[in-house]
Amino acid sequence: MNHKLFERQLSAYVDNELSDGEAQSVRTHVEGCALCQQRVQVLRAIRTSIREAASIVPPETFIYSVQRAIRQQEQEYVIWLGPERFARNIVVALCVIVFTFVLVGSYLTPQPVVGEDRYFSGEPSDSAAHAVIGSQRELSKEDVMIAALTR
Amino acid sequence: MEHQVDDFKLIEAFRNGEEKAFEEIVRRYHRQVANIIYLTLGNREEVDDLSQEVFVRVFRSLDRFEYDSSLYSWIYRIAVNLCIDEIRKKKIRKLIPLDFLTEKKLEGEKKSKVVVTASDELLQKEKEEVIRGALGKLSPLHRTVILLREYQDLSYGEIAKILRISQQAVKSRIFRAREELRVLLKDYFQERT
Repeated sequence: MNHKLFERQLSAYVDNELSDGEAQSVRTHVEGCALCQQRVQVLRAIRTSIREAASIVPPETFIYSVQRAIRQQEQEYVIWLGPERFARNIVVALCVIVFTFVLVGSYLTPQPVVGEDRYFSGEPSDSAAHAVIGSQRELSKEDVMIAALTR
Repeated sequence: MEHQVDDFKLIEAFRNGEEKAFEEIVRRYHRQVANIIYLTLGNREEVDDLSQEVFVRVFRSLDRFEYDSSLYSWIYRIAVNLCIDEIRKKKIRKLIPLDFLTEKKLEGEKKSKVVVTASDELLQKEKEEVIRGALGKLSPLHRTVILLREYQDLSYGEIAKILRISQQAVKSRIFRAREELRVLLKDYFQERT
């Protein structure tokens, strides 16, 4: 491996994220390469500096502010739950009412008798007259006339 | 590992209604969470509110924790997601004015350190500012990955789980983030290139 390839491995090397074999070959290279030694030093210096830059020490009272925020959100949730539940009940009630009307309406509408309907609507056919008269015999001219006059 | 077992016991205790267990979880991780938010967003003012939000979310979701990761990486995932949301909302790309980390500025700082006799504390503060400034120059993805590695000391595998990317992607992003940081801080660390 040439220097450039070793250089690319240095980041994972300082993180101990190379396999034993890879780490060993990088270590051997670094020991004999001043540039890579310096690069490793810089990478470690960056790490130390980042840790030092993380300078925030939250107050011991931080937990209380978290607990307060949780309680506050719970109260807001309860307040919100009231109107939400009311709205949901209204929607359910409306659905039940509409369904009931549709059901009752369809039940109360009279179903037409097909043969009678065809006869009284004036359909001038022998079959209609036959259905009304209910006779099994062949219709005479008189039967048809009577059916036409009585409809 | 022992710490992880201990964390899992705390979760069990929380699920059994022990309030003290949640307090312990907060005490254990609030500093790390606050600093990861601070270094990711670069804004001290938002740290308290966002840290608080992280732990409120932890409280709300702890019942759904599935023991498939460590508690801390699960908490960091919540923190990182919150930071990414915040960055998207505000489109924070730069934590500091653009000219802050120019070569000229760094050169000036280096020279001034020789001449000005400032207290160690002041120098340390300056150094922290330079580091935070350099972090702010990174893309949010590179910034997050490098912070999880350098500050939280997480393994590539743990980072991969938190960010839901492959270990190879973690390795590659860490490498690129470091390269960027190395160039940005070249003068600061007086590296010979």
